[in-house]
Amino acid sequence: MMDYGAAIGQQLINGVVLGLCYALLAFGLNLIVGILGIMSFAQGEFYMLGGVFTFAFMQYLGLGYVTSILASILIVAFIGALAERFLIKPLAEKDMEITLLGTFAISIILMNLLEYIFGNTPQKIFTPFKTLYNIGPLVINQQRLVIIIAGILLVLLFNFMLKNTKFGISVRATSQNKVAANLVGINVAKTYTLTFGMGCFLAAIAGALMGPLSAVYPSMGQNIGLKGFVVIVLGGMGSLPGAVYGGIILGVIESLGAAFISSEWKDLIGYGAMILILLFKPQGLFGRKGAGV
Amino acid sequence: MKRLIDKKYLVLIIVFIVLPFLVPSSYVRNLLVLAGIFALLALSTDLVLGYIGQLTLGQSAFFGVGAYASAIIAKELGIPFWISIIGAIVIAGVLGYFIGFISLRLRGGYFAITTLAFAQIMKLIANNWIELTRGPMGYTKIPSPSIFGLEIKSEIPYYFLTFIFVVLIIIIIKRLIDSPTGRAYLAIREQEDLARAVGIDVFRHKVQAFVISAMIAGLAGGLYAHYFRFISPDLLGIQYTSMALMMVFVGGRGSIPGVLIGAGIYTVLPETLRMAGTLRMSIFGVILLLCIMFMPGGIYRSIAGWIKRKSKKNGNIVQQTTVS
Repeated sequence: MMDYGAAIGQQLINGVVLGLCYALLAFGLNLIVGILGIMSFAQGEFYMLGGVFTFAFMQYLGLGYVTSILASILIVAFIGALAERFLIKPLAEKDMEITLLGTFAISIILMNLLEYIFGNTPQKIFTPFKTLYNIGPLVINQQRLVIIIAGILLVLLFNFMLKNTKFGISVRATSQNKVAANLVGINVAKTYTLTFGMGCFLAAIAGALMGPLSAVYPSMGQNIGLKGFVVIVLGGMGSLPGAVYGGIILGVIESLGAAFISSEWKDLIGYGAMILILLFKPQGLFGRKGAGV
Repeated sequence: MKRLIDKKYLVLIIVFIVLPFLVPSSYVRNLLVLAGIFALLALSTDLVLGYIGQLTLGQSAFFGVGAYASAIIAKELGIPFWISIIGAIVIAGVLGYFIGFISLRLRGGYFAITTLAFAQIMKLIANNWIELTRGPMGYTKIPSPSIFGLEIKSEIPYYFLTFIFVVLIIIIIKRLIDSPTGRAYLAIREQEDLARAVGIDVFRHKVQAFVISAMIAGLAGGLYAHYFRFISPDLLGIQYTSMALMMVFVGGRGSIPGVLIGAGIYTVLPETLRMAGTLRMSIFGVILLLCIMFMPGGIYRSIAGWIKRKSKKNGNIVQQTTVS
């Protein structure tokens, strides 16, 4: 009986870790969906870029893990901002579905370009955080602990920034009313570009943090991009706290499902839940009625 | 006027009949067969995308399910191709009804992610229902179709088999689009609320178009399976959906010749881009992006429009079939 409890506890820890990574990715996706009104299908690829760049900096430039993460997430944020400025912005002026298709095209380009450069062999990121900690019968390695701490800090940081800084206020103002924001002197185009870059930044951190726990390879973003949508549908489109709760719920469900039901079928739970929620509770589990995009 | 158009089609048909005998290698003939199969997939995608105006990201599900259905029926039950392919069409259609009935309740982006989620679920099933599909290793030794005891196996006979199906499907789609039902589709695409206001049952028409589209994709999948005689769960992967989207958008959505040109370009380009290796898909992505940015109507409309303007400038009156 004790063993069973310990196994569940262990999977809960793993689930929360995975869930925080989903939460970071989805938090970024929700910023993009909520503020720009664009469903980005490239979010998984920015997650992948975070992981692959981190690996590349460590492998080819000999940088440390933390330095590599910092360098890669800044580069990914910059790539994201460029993509918004030069590709997504002109499309968004046309129509929503064309924009959606545009992000889809960006994801195809990035994934295959990276595969051309690095090949599609799964690579392992070697983390310096290797110590194992015992908490009673449970074991947690340092990398997972780092993810938990970094995830919580980042969510709090971004939440604080959106609520209290000038930039955050202009972001929220733009999401509420684009025209009015423009009237009071907010540079809407710049806000959009920065928001998109920020969304990509969060996805890249998630990819770089998850790298040591699973492998990194150019097509790793394919499923996770859709998972991002699962999370924001669970939590409610445009709801930032919802993205965090939704991410952790999905992570925990998947970990428990993989351990106690079947690891092959675990993805079915998330996709199935998303379809059901879209049909019966489209505002999400935590969203207010009428909220959304 | 009518005879003129007929003559034009006749010329095209003759060109396509002679074509496989003119090309130099079996590799190119192989590409021609592939172009036909992918043209069917693109036409099926365009029915949803171009005529009822819904961005579907799940077309690979029907392509893959059609392939598996026909292969399994033909091999496990020992039933000839001509019946198994009908089985594939029916099964893809039933699945299309199920998925369409659920996802078409949602609009725009929500519809897109739901269809994508369904495609991922189908891929998951193909990978893990090992007893039926043999899982990720793929399903092998699929029987070739045969007619009067002759196997249709090499490129040229299979080319003609595919060609007949393509012509048949083009005729069906054309008649459908020209019928009152087709006009209802266009009304839904242009102004959904207005269409509803004039009494069109929007949801029923959308589901109907979605089911027909799924059936055509299933047919394409079946043809693919019996040609390569090997299939794997990759067929349900997103790369086939993105391929179909590229054909439709590059060629020109909502136009049959446009989509066919898109399928042709997509299949011929790999040959010219061969040195590029895996970079190829990236180049296609760039082409797709450029097309939606600068040629939202697709290549066909741009060229047709250019010819029209040019001939007007010269003062000639040229018969031009209208492009909807």
